[in-house]
Amino acid sequence: MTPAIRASRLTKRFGQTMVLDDIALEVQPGECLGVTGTNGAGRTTLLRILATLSPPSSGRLEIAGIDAVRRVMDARAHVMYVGPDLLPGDGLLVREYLDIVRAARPHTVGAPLTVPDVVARAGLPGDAPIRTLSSGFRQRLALAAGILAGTPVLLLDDPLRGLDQGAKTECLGWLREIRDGGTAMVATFYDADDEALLCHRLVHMGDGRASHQAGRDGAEAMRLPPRAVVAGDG
Amino acid sequence: MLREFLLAARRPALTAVLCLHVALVAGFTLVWHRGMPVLAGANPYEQQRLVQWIVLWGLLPWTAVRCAAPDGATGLARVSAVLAVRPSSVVVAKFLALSGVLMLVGMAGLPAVILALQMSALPLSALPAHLFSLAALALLVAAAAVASSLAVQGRLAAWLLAAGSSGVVLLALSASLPAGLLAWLAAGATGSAIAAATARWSDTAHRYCYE
Repeated sequence: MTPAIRASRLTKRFGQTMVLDDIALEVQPGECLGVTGTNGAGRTTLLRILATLSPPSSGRLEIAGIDAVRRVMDARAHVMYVGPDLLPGDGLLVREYLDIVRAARPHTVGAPLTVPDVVARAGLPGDAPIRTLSSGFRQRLALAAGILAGTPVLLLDDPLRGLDQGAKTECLGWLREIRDGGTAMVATFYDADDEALLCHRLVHMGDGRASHQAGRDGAEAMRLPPRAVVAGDG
Repeated sequence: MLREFLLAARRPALTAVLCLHVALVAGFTLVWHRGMPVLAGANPYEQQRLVQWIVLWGLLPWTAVRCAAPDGATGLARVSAVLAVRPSSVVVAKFLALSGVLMLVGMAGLPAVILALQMSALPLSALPAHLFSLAALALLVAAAAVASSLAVQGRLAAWLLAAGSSGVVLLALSASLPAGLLAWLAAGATGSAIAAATARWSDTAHRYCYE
């Protein structure tokens, strides 16, 4: 099976600062990889590179078998990023924004979702202008758009930030359904407990490098080839 | 394109510009043309047309910059990432949506134009040529505004750049071509060419949100 994400020897440098150093990872369809680490460890940078929002300084990256460094736009069609500051919908109504996402993104994984279903499940006010939404509702909307896109790869940068406990539980359940439907995920969470509820295995980032940690449910042992996640040994 | 058009059409600035344009053009036609001739020997329609072009030359770039989705250079890549479309597609959508909005602003002055034609005893068959020139001006200014918004930061700078560059193009065309449909055709074509070049450039320059 073609991995949903395959990265090798990824580096990212800002000037003289090495933010990511020799990262390698592989994520299969239907698998969720959690990325842990302290602030400034490079988690968001890694996710942005996987989302094709930022180019790596060197290394190889394939999304759904497509070279995401050379064929950025082709790879971009297979990946959706849910993260801070990535909601270009101010001025639109919630339903309009989701309609536009739905029209632009042909659903390719799992059962196609409709905008009314997504609005209802996310508990969003469909006719509200996005600019009037609270941070919690904006977060729900970003997540709803990510799920609605139905891409094979979903990248989640602290997707439960700002959500109340009820919404967190609902969203985690939703994400698990999407994951089990075949969507590959890479996620960072502020709360380690949330991570445990969604991720099959974890990668810990520190000093720009990734080290493999034991998964919460032991699933990583059968999914990962030896040294699939390299701790900067190149 | 729907996103761009909705965002532009909902800006309060658009309503303000529509009202201002109508008030200036109608006000000139109804009040000032008798006592303050702008062009000696020109009829009311010719005088009003000159005033309207000057008004639109200032207003349209401001409208375009003010009403465009406030994406900026980073936002272009962001829209591209969320919708999985090329940055060039976003640029073209902006260009077309803004052209439509600017055309709307220009057409808001049509009642006053028709009035001026009648006051000048000119046939209404002159109206299609007037509309054509409005469309050409809308295309040129929309393209200049989209390119300026990506080239410089801040709305004031983008407005000045858009107004300046479109003014230079209009002056150059009026100096090199006989006035009339051919000059406006060239203005529209220049606008389309600027939009196409901006779109092509954005595919490489605005591919990524974060470098």
